[in-house]
Amino acid sequence: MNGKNKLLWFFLFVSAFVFFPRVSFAMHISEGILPLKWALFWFVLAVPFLYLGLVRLRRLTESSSQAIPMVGLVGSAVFIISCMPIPIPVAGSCSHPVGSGLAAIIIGPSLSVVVSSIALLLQALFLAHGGLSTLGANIFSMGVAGSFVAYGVFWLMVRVGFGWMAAAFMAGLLSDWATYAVTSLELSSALHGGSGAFGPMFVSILLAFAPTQVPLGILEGVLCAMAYAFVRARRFDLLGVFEKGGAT
Amino acid sequence: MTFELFSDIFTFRDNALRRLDPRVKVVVGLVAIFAVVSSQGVLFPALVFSLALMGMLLVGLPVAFMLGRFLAPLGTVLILFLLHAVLYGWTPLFSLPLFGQRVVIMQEGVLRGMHLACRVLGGFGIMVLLSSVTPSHQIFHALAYFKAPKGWLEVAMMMYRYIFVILESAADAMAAQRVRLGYCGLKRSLNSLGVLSGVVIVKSLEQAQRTHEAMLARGYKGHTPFGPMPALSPKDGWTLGLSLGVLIGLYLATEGWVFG
Repeated sequence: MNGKNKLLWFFLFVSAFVFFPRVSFAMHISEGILPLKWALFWFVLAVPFLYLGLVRLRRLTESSSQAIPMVGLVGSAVFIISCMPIPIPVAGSCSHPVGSGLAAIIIGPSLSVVVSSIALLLQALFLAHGGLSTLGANIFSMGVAGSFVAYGVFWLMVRVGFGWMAAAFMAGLLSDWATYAVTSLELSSALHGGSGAFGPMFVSILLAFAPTQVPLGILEGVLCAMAYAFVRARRFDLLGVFEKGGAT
Repeated sequence: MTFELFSDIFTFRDNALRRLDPRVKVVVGLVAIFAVVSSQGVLFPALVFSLALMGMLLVGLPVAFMLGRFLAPLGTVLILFLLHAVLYGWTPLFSLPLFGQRVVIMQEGVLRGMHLACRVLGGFGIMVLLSSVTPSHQIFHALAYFKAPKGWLEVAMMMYRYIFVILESAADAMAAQRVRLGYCGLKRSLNSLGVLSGVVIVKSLEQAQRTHEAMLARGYKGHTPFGPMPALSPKDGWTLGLSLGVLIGLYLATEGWVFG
């Protein structure tokens, strides 16, 4: 591939993403995109985090039978929030928040992985967003990366002394961008097709998502901060059930 | 609010695939999907897609619904096809003029792009067919039979059930916001969406409390018992064996033919 070709495919790729607004759903890796070995690799990486979440859920259930309905219902709420269309001013289209950042700061990152895995399975099966063979990759990018980054940032900022509103904003923003970066990594590592092409593929996918994901991350941060502020102001007492049962 | 249609609304239609045991459908569906993603040629995924398409037409899925389902993956496939065609390969096939430059289309990239497209279509076809002939509760029941973690299943069933309850509250709140011009301009839209998200979470937490009390009153002890699944009927057993046989036969024939 010569230099002119590189420039042109890059232009082609970026414009294609910008001009196909449906691809703003592309944080879900579609069924069939990943070859078998990469699909299994991301499943293997996601499983320990899912296990951690299930252990946490069991501990919570042992201390209160209210835990299952609470986690399930918050999961439904986050599923619905993640389907809400957000207008993206730069791309001229609507996209959807990831939601795992908000879930992580409300119910904790490991439970957020459990909820994300279920939401992703339901979305794959009944809404055709994502896929079954790509479920592991999607759980890792949205559930694991999104939740742990959000919770880590939130916890750190509150500890350092930032207000919880700023912390919730950064949690939403960085969880979205972490999901976006990990999805790009997953796609480029599986599809680069040979030596030397990983770098250009990764950069081109990052840049291709950028017109949607950079503003979407900022908007998700705002949404996350406002939703958290609302819950905190109205019924923060109800979140007490998630404090029981030990570690994250 | 652009909440989309859940495919399992079609599962309430009676047809031969709907009547099959859910364990058979889940096993055959997963084997087909993993065979498609492990394939190295275009023929096997294309055949699987054709079979899935025939299945979808036979059970009477509306064409508009199928097109809607395939639109998003087809967009992704088109872009990845273009990317592969110009980025990957070493044998020039032809070149196209674009903004005063020439884009060289590579033969290997086109083949790779076609393979990817067929894989996506094959996998998606199976997934849409599976979810259109198997109600969610049967999928959960089959997963319980295959020893999926109890806690995960419990939360999954709770989530699935309450998505529709909370969706109604969210839709009502959003309609009220719209009437008050809550979605005029980006700033107001964002403000309204933030409040709506908060409302949805608070409502879900309050609903969880009520649900928990109702469940306790009905003897809930931390998990919902699943009834035992009946043994596979001879018809289901034959269907399972035949489907797996056809899939394995097609896989061996096409993959061997491609590389043989």
